[in-house]
Amino acid sequence: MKRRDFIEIAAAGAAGLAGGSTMFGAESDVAALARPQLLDILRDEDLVCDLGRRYRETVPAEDNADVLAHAIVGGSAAMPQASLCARIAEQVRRDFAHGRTVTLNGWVLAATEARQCALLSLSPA
Amino acid sequence: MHIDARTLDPGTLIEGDLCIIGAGAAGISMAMDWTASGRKVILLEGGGFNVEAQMQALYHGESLDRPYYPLRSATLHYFGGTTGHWSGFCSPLDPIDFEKRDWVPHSGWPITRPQLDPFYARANQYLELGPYEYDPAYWEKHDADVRRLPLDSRTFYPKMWQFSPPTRMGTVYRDPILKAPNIHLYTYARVVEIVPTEAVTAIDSLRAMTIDGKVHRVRARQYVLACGAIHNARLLLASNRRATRGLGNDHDLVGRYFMEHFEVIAAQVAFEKPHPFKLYTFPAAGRVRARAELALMGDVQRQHRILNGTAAFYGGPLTGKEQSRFASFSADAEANVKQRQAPRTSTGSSPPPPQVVYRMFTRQEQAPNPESRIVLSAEKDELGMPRADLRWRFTPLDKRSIRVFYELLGREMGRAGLGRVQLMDWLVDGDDAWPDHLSGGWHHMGTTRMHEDPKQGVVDADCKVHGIANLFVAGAAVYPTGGAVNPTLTLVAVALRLSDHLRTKVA
Ligand SMILES: Cc1cc2nc3c(=O)[nH]c(=O)nc-3n(C[C@H](O)[C@H](O)[C@H](O)COP(=O)(O)OP(=O)(O)OC[C@H]3O[C@@H](n4cnc5c(N)ncnc54)[C@H](O)[C@@H]3O)c2cc1C
Repeated sequence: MKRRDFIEIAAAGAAGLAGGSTMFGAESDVAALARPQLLDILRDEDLVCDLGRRYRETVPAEDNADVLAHAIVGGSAAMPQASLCARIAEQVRRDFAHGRTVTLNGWVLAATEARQCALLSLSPA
Repeated sequence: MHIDARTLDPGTLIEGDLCIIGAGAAGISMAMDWTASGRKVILLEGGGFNVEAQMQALYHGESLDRPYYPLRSATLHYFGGTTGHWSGFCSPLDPIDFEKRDWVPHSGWPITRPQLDPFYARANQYLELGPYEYDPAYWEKHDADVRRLPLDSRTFYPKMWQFSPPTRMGTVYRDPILKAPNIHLYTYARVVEIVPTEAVTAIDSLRAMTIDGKVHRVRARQYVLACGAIHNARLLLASNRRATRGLGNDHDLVGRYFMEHFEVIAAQVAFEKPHPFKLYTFPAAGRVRARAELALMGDVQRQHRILNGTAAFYGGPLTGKEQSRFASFSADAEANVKQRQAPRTSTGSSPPPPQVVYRMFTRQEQAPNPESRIVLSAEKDELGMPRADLRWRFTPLDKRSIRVFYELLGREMGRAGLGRVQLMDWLVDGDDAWPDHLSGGWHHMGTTRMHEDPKQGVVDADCKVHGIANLFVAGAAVYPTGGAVNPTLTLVAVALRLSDHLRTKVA
């Protein structure tokens, strides 16, 4: 299975968890879940995947795509069709602002983006 | 006026109004401040006008607990003192540095930053700095390319530094001192004992010895000890014939609370895109030079109960080969001085192109710790004085503060959408382990700390040794806490404040 397909499946799982088909709209929104902004900063997908693996080791309860996806988008059942990307970016910003961070291999990451890394790492290369 | 003490008859009595022991940053600034006073000032310098191996050997001592610079070369024993090879980084302490902070044991100065401000302004001139302006807004106003990073101003701010040429005090002030008729500079007049009166309530005289063994006696109305924090403590502790624990040491405080600044690469920052970095870049030579480092606001330090610190940006990512300067700094002081005084080639006026990854260089305050101290060795130097050894010891707060700083920077960089921060492994691993690449700033502070209570400090707010009427200490030895920034600007300011105070005593 390709990483991209896997992401879609994971997102679909998350949609199921949230209990509403309106949860995910365009395919690009779905992909956003497992595409942390960190990729644009570190410019190294292997490194970002490694951080994701570390997250799953540190938080074994979230070593599961559905759980991760749900944790990222939360339980908001009536999510609008607006860009998931923008919503996640804002969530990452708020995580940082409120100190909801995790430190993985020394990197200070927003909890949301750490989960995104974990989701990315669950997809086969 | 200059007299080489080696040319005097043995047992010469030297007399004056004010005697300053040590002609380094503190001693020379004070002497300069007295050139027009009409009072006879005796300036006693242990060394000559040049750095000499034989004199530096008198400074030899051991660092007993952890790696440190060779003590024989970390400070300099000649006219001008350690400014013979200092780097010239200057910035004032912050208001919070003077406060009693309940999370920093033994913190709190008996003076405040506003009380010191007028003296800072004068110190700025002695150290050939620009205007007494350390507000980043001032520098931004004067250069359109100077822009701070868009970080939350309630959390991080650009802490400004200015750079002295660096002023070699022994070169710049040699002529004015030699030409001042009331300043009597004695070179090779190394004080080996401070002799108190019978009751140990005042100083009677000093014993000064030349390198060839002649002993002279020095008497003055007021005495100022300005030998640097290691040798101030050494001289007080070694002057123990009448006061068996050493002078000013009734409460076993002399030599304790030795502080340095931690200087260490601690993290790296990855920016999403390059930012204008002129404000944070080391400026080119040949003009008023200033730059900023990142610092945490006092309220944030208060909230997180951490020490003060700053972070400088070094271009490029971590290499895994970060090195300490402790091992690489030569024990050969003559070679160090030669290298550091060699004319530098200017790097031009434009800053290097902005990068996306920077190593973060920390400068951080060390918490005052009574177990961190200068002790007398059983071994004696060539003139029969016990050597000074160093026991440099840390507390968990020291390391925790560095870690919290970078965690907060990580959060703020993320919140502002600028980039991400990675802490180095050593910083994440507990509060006790320190990395091999740890360095210090050659900054020696705290060994005769200032406190109004004689049970908690060696000197009072006027820098007078508790219980001794006419003995004062100048230099960073009097700092109760050291802040994040290099000590010399502040120690010159404190020395000038002492100078003003002594005017009333020697009137
Ligand atoms: C490599 C290096 C780089 C530095 N860079 C910076 C920097 O960038 N910024 C900064 O703020 N600080 C810096 N410093 C520290 C700075 O040099 C010191 O803070 C400053 O020189 C201390 O001034 P002082 O007068 O207390 O002591 P000193 O300058 O050490 O002067 C003490 C004087 O006392 C004399 N003396 C000692 N014992 C006796 C005795 N028994 N009798 C008579 N005379 C005696 C000595 O010969 C000397 O002249 C640096 C230091 C080093 C080594």
